[in-house]
Amino acid sequence: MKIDNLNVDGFGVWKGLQVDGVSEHLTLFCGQNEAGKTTMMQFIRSMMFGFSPGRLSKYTPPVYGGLAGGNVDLLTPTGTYEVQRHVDPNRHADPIGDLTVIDGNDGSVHGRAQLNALMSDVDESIFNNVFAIGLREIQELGALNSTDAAEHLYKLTSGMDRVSLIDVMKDLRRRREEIWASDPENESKLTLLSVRRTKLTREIEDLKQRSKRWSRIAAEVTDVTHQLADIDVELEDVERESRLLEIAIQISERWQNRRLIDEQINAFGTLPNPRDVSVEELDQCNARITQQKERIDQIKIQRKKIKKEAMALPINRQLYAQKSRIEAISEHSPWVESLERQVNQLQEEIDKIENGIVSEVDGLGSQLQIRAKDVKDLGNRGLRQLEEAGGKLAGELERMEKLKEELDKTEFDVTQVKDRIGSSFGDINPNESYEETSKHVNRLRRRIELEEKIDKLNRSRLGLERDIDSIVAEQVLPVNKLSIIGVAFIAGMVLLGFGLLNVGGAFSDASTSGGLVLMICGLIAFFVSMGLKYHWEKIAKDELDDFRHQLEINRQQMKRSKHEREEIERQLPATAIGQWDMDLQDAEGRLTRLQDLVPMENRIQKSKAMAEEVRRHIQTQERTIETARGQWKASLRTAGLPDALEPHQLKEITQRSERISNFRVRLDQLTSEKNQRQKELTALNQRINTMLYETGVQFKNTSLTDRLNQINSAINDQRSMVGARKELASKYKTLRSRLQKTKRELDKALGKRQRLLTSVGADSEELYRQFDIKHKDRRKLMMKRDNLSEQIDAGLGANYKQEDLTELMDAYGQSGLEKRWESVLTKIEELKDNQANLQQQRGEFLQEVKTLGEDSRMDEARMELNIIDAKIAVLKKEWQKLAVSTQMLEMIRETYESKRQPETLKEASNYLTRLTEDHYVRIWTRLTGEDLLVDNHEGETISVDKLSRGTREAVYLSLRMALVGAYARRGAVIPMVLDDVLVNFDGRRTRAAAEVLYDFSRNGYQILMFTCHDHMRDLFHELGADVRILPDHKDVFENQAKPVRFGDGTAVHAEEDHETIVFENSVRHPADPIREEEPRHFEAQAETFDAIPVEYVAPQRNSQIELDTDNYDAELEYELSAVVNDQHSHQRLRNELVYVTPNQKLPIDLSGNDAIWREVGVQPVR
Amino acid sequence: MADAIKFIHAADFHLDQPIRGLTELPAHLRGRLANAPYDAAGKVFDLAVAERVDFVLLSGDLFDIESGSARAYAFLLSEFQRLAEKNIHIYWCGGEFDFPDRWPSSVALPDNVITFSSSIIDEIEHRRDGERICAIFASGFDSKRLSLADFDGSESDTFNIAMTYGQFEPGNLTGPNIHYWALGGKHKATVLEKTDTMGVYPGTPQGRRPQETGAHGFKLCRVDGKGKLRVQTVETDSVRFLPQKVSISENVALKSLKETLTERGMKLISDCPEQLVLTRWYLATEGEFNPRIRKVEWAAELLEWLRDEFGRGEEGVWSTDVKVEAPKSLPSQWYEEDTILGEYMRAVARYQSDDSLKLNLHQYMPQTVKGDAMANVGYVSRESRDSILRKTGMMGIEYLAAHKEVAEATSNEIDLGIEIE
Repeated sequence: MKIDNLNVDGFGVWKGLQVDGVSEHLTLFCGQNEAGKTTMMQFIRSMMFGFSPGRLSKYTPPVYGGLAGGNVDLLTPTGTYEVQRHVDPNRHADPIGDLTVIDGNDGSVHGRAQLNALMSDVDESIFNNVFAIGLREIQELGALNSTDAAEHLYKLTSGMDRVSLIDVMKDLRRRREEIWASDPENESKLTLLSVRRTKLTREIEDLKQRSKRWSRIAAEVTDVTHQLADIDVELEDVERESRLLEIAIQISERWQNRRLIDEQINAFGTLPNPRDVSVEELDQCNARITQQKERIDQIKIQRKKIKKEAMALPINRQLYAQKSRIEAISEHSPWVESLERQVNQLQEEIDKIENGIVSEVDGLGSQLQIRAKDVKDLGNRGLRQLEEAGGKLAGELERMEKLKEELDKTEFDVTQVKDRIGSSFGDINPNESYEETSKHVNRLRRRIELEEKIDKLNRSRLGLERDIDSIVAEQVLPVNKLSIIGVAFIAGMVLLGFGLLNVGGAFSDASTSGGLVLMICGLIAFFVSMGLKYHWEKIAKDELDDFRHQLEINRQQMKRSKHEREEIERQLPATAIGQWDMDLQDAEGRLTRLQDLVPMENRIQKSKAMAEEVRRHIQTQERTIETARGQWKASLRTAGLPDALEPHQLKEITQRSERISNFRVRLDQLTSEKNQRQKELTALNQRINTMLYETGVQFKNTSLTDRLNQINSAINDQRSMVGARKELASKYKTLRSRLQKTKRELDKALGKRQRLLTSVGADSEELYRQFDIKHKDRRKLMMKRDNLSEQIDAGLGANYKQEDLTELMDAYGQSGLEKRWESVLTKIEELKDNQANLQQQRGEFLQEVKTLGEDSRMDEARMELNIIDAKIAVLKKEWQKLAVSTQMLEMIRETYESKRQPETLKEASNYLTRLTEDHYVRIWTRLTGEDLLVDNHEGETISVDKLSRGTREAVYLSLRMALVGAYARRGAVIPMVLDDVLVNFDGRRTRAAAEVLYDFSRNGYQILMFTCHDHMRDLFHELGADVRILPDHKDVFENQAKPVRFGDGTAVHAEEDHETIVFENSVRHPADPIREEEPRHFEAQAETFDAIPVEYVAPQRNSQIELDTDNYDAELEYELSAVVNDQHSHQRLRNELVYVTPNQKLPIDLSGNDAIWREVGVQPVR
Repeated sequence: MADAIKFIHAADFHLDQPIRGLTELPAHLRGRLANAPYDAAGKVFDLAVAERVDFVLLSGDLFDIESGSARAYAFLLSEFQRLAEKNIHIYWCGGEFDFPDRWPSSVALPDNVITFSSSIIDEIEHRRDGERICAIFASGFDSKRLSLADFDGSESDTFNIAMTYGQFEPGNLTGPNIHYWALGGKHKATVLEKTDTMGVYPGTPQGRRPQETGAHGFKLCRVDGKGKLRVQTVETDSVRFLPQKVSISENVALKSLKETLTERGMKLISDCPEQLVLTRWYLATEGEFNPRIRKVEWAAELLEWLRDEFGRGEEGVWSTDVKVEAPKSLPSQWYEEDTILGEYMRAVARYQSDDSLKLNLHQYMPQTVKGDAMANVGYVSRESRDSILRKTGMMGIEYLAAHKEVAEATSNEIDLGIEIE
């Protein structure tokens, strides 16, 4: 791949820069400092690899504005491609930029993958390490010491693309060593851990012994605890005995006294049980016996008194025996009273009814003059007959009354209607009939209608006459019709005349036929005019006949109407002519009133007829009444009643006779009832009298009720007396039982006294009382003894019993107690000493057990051991990983060294030979080791670290070129970009290098080289390289200036500068102009002193160059410093060039332009 | 309704085995971690006293009797005595490491502790107020025991418990008329379901290894008057391993990742307020390969930040490790390019695909340590070969493809992922 054209749309200071037809071999871009060389290099990189963050921040947005980016045309064996890449300065997120790769063959558009393919997958880091050599690399090499530089060079031969294989392997080794150092003296992580692990393992083993110790001591503790428990038991026994002995000594005197009292008590011998001997009880028994005897006497007296009282009560046994019968009779007392009351009431009622009958009969007799007897005998049958005859008579009379009322009503109605007619129609002639009036009205109406008709006919006649006149006037045709006819007639005549003339031969044949036509037309016109005249005259005549006929009809109608009018006027009364209307209205009014009168007349006629009818009925009724009255009177006679009796009186008679008969029936009932009650009363009276007699009681009153009351009170008296006697009997009985009870208690008391005596074996009461006295004496002794016992108990306390003391006294006696006590106290002392010792021992053991039991060191140590094991495992894996990586890389390195290194070294040897002008002829390396060796033309082998710096740079350049060649052989043909790489070469070597580079480029490797040095420009120009002078960026922006080829005659700024300096000359002759033959001399000297001029560039004063910082841009720094550099005079430049021995380690002062060229302590070679 | 029987079933205390799997031991957590097994076991006995249980079943591996830990002896003795004062019985069958027969005869166990030998199956009647309430058929660990049919409760009409130690399946629970199998020997709590009976491994009260994740504890069992059994898990662990997985984008921004980790860390703290949570963070990646997050320093920085953020107190979250998982795939062109990277990747791939190619690491080992305990450092086992080679590949990328820069994402592209339990 080769670059053909460059087009910078905007990048840093460049805008619109175009570089066309870049050479496919070597192109040198020459420009002043700050001319934009680095910008251009960075543009090429940006096009190839994108806009890295560093480039984006430095070169975008473009100084002159616009979109950052541009395009590059590439030439490849497969064709041309255009790479366009732009980035939006406001959107820096994408480092790739907007990339487009256009295939020149077919115009197809591709992307990043295509570019990667074109670049043979060479990324920027490979590009930097292989294809791009700048001042930075040269400085880097120069800044290293000999060993490092040699190593640095060796790396180039043993694998180098993005990284150096050697570097990676070294780092792996370092990391491995950190984990596990090969030298046991060195402290590495694994060895440290191993040591710590061993220690911990030992510690754990030691700690394990503690377990055994713990169980042993725990057993000891148990043992000691048991011993202590035994001692405790023993000590408790001995102390108890000691205390008992002490007490025994204290109370031995009381103990002795008590024994004496015991003996006295025993002397009493056997006595009856003190509980059995009770003098009080004996006394009580005696008292009770006396008391019972007195009570018996009292009861006997009381009984006698009650008996006497009972016998004194007067009781009638006969009467009392009849008690139940008397009570039964007494219960009849209300009934007797009731019977008496009923008899009286019935009697009163009978009297009342008898009086009622008498008054009824009296009432009837006074009114009708009939006897009471008659009334009483009036049978039902006779009355029924009277009722029928009376009812009939009354009915007929009633009907007669009704007929009379109807007659009066009818007559009244006739009178009423007549009055009304008289008041309403007084003006109407009674002779005038309704029909006549209506006929008169009709005639009047007809008369008026005929008048109207005649007027109408008159108007019609006048119209018809006018029409006839107009038709007669039209008998002569109107002008318009006449003119039509005339025109037609004249035209016809004229045509006919012309026709005749033509036909007459005055003209040609043609005229003859035309004349015929004219004649025909003339004839047609003539007939038409005649036809029209006839037609119109016929129409007028028909219309006239029609109107005349109508006029005739009109006259006839008129005549008939007038005739009819005259007829009607004759029939009508002679009233003023022209007042027909008023007459008609009058006649119509009368006709209406006549129409109202007609129904009233009818009504009068009807009422009169009815009145006649009613009169006839009344006469008939009068006859019927006569018949009925005769029947009534016959009935009265039959019933024996006076004739004067009217039918309405018959009803009262009937009612009274019914009431009287009812009274009689009631009277009979009451009388029989009263008799019945009387009988019952008498029977009862007899029964009571019999019973009273039987009781023998004498009665003062004879009234039945009184007698009953008297006997009742008598029986009540008897009852109360019997009750009193019963009460007394019961008291008597109670006293008898009390007497018996008292006798029994007396016996009991006597028995008890006897038992008391017998129970203690006493024959007498005296003996009994002696026993009591003996008991009292003994009791006193006992109390004394108890008192002593209590004192002894108090002395013993709660913990000891008297048995213990008895035992002790029995064992040692009173005198032996003291001796025994002393021996016991001695034993106690011994036991306590023993106990204290054991307790102390146990405390110590327990403390140790506790300490051992709570010690967590074992767990911590184990945990630490676990952690160490885990760490070792991790490190082991890490180490294995590193070792395997090393193994892999070593294999790769072997491949490199066996396959690629010889090839590379061979190629590099060729370049070195040419660069050093055959002084050094071979670069090689041994099979083992990392030494790079160089053979000189004398066959001597020199290690690279022994070479001069200049030679090392030559080796470096050779190796890099060989690397490029190696890549090319693998298919990656990428342009080399070199930036002032020859700056440290002397004149001869510069030329040689230029030749080598030029030849290299001609072998198919495109080289883009940048320099600010005019001698380089001239040198490469001489060699035939494509040298381009970069124009001023302002010119590019404003005038579209382009880089021009050097030597084309174009006036460029550089060429006008006559102060161009060649270093070689300046070294030897600082103030002299350049001379062609000088370089060789310099070379010899340079080799002699092994010194070369060095240019140092760095950003900051008094600081070491940091060659590996990411942001350090050597090219830019160089460019910037060179800008300042240019401000200095050439004179000064010449005097300040320095020579530096390669082995001297330079403090690199990077303070800026002034210090760049300052002397560093080595005098320039003169 | 009062429970007819109430008992605790615990096992696998392993008192003498401290927490493992850590590569660092911060000073402020030293005590907590060293005491964790004891704290957890202590809670078993605390609850026994608090709940006034009838008895405690301990089915083996309380500690390694050969470990020589006096603390373990002292602790057990003290706790047994505490229960003896409350008249709570302890039935202890030996496991693989703690044969009760070997308990030092000089240190007598309290009377309430009944131990079971390995050779025979003992039957014990547990009585309350003189009344038999359940029968316990127990035997210690016997490596030759394959069947559990000898645990025969057919002649007992009470609630029957069988207790032993070993690795059993539901099909092994063949002993007739056994209502509850109190088993020991699995550190993870497990229930073996079977008709009419159930086998229960209560697990260890304290997880000790990163593999023993989640909560640990013991079982509190209640049998009601009708013979219905309820088993309740009681958590006791004071240190808990809870690894966390977070899916991230390869170009994740550190700030947003920290926000997510903070959120997750706070959740862990709130979920386990009484525990010290030991967390290994797995960062599973997605998206285009980014060498930035493959750098050891990146993970180390994150780990330091996590510890600083959550691991200052005795409780909280102590981050043991931050592990960035290997990318799912690497760019294929790396294997193809004609560079050192390409050569390297191809070489690694060759070793990965061909096991016959030897990894001869002894050549890099220091001469002096050969034959030493560290001698096996140079030996890559067949199992770890693949892992090592994968890591080697990543290491090559770290060195040889560090130029592959990937822009850091500005947005939060973190997936919360799934928590590993």
